[in-house]
Amino acid sequence: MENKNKRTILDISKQYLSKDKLRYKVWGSLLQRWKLGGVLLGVLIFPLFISIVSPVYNSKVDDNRKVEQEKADSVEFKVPCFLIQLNDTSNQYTIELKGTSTKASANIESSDIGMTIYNNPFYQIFCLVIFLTLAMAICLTLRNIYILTKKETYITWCHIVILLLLGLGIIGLLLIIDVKENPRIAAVLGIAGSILTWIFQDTVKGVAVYFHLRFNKLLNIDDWIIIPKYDIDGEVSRVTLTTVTVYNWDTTTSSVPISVLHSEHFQNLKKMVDGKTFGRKMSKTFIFDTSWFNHLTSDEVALLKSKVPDVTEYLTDEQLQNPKSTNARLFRLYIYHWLMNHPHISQQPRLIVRWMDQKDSGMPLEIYAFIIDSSLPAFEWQQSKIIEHVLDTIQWFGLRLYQNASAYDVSNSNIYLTDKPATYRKED
Amino acid sequence: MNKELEGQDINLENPFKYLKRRVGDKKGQPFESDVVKNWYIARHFVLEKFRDEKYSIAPDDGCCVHLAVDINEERSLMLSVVRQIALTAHFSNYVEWDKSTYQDMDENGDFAYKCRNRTVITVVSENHDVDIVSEMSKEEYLGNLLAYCKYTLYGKQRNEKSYIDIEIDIVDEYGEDENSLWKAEDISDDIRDRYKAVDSENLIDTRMAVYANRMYSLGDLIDNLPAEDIHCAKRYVLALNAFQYVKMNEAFTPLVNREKWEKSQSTVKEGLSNLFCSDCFGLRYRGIKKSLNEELKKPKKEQSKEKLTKEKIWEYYNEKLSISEHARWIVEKLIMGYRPLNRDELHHYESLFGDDRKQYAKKLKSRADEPAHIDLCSYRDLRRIDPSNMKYDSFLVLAIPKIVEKVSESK
Repeated sequence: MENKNKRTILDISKQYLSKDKLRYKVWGSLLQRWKLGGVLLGVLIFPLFISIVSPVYNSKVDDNRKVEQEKADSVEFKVPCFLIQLNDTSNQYTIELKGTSTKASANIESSDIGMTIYNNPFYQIFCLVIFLTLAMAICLTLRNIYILTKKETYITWCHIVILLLLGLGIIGLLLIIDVKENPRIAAVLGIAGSILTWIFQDTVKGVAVYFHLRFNKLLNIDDWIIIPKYDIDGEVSRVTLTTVTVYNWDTTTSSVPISVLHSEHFQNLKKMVDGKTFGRKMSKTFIFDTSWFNHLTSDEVALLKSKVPDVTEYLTDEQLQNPKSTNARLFRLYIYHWLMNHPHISQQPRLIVRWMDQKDSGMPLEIYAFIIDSSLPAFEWQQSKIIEHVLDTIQWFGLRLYQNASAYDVSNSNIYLTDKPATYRKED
Repeated sequence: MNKELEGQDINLENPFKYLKRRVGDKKGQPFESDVVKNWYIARHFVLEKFRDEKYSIAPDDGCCVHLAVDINEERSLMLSVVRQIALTAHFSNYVEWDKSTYQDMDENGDFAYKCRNRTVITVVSENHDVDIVSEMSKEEYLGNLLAYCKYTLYGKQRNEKSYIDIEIDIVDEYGEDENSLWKAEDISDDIRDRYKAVDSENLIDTRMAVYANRMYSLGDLIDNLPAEDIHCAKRYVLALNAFQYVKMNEAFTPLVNREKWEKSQSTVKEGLSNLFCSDCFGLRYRGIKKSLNEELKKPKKEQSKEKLTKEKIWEYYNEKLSISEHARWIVEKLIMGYRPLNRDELHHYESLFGDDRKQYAKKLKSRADEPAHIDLCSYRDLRRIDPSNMKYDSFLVLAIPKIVEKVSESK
């Protein structure tokens, strides 16, 4: 019971992170990194209560505690304050280097107290590193939260802040080192920078591509993208400054450098899936056995009308009774008008029912249409219904689809030669 | 005629007198003066009636309007009132079809519309000797509406699968149906009491109709837009700004161009179409205002950011309002004598392509005797047959608050 009421700092941080307002989230991230924050606070506050002597003097302490100071012959060095341990609170300080046996003491004048610590470059670098680490940790925590909640704008802002922090770190480092006063260091840093830029050129390019894609809203989490060159087909699960993670439909995961989405072609199908386009393309081809192409007799037309009642809605009597019309032509017209009036087929941008080039296997008829149901299960359902309707009605027009003979046909003597030619007419 | 009324400039005109008969013995002649007078009285009464708070129906409301009109006395006036209700009572909570695609079939496996929250008009007529359907289908009353909308004739249903948002129930006596969720409000006495002795000037304020007409002339600016996401308001920003800051500030011109209106009936019908369209602006404006007020009353945590300002809420409900506007347009066209394409016309239309198809559709639309319009179909079908015309509905809806506020319609 006692443990239940006890809330750790981590619990409190999670509470704040779960709130909507940004200031609560930032505070929650800070609490998550409370140890790191504590170190920063300590580093900032500690120097207010101590002072540092620089340079260190070698001195002797006699029995009367009188100090004789001798300036060290060795080169002066500046000592980081956290390496120094104080053990005397009187005006006279004995300074002992940690881990060594060196001791020194001196009278400290008020003018020596205070600001020296802040001029110490090691101290400055340390503060900078601590600050950047803390800020970066907060940004990454917030970014992960926004990735989960799919808040695209905030994710982009987190990445912008991370980049700014990196830039701040580099600039801060250069200012601390005081590059202007040290031309040799400046030259070394310049060469190092060029080499690093060359090594990480793809990463740098990726950052630029990231902003191009985000600001033009070309890529968001949950977008369905296809990158044909790399055979990637799935939903975007994560977008960072350098990498895009895609959850493929076969449940594998692909990570691609974001610069690929700029240099290579990729398709974004999100708008189609959301129903914000005319529909989803359906393109199906049926291969007809041309041996069954002929002109329908009046009996066959009567049979057709009885078996396919809606044929009179889509074909006029003139077309049906026309002796010059082949069953192939009538079927194409029927399917075309049937699709034009189908409640799930969009007439825009185009609806085409056409014969393709003759092949050895037969004459292909292509249906090219857009189904208004764009989500995958609904689309496949409607597409299958259309195919089933084609298969249902094809026989009543006296037509057959082509299919290669199977082993069953061969072994059961379904293929045989006759003296008389086949009539190729459907018998009721 | 421009007048000043309570410090506001209004534009009073007499547009109905230019409409001529399309069929029958008196084809080509204007309608009789008492018919025209009844139209004005009916319009005035119905618009006044719908200013009532209870007719402020928000897009998410689950209710419908059910009115009863007794036509046994003052038959012509009452039928004109039925006509005007059919022209005006189109609310943004009408649901034509459900978005889910698996559940949209009837028992035969055919596509079926849901059609929730239809406006129901109960017509009380005791006289069984009169062919009430033929009488109501006259040019001066409901025209072709009864041929396509769902109606019940003394208990027998017709056109059950209709997608139109008006339903007419013809009964021989008015009785409160205990099973009905929304009981009919009998307005017959109200009409008689208030308007029997009124000598109407046959003049109406056409300012909103004029602005609606100017909106349509912005076709060039809202043309050449990608068809995807028709209801995305950002697509119309340029045209909206042009409308608000240019078109609405142009010098005022009357709706009726006397010379053109006397020569061409299609110009008259176009002008009247703008008038009927603008008659619904007040209803929609009050409905959305009610929705906004309800949203603002909620605790901050429950408020939806997409509905919190006047501009955003109109964009949020753009699709629902567009559906309602298209439903209104269908009823208006049917009443004005248009009809959907029949089987042969449709077959011929589908056999043409490109400009030939457009020309054929235009030819059918401008026929004097039996004009047929390809867009007389459900909103769902419009999306797949002629999506290029949907932008007008979407854009008009966004322009409504600007027009209403400009004209400062009072409650």
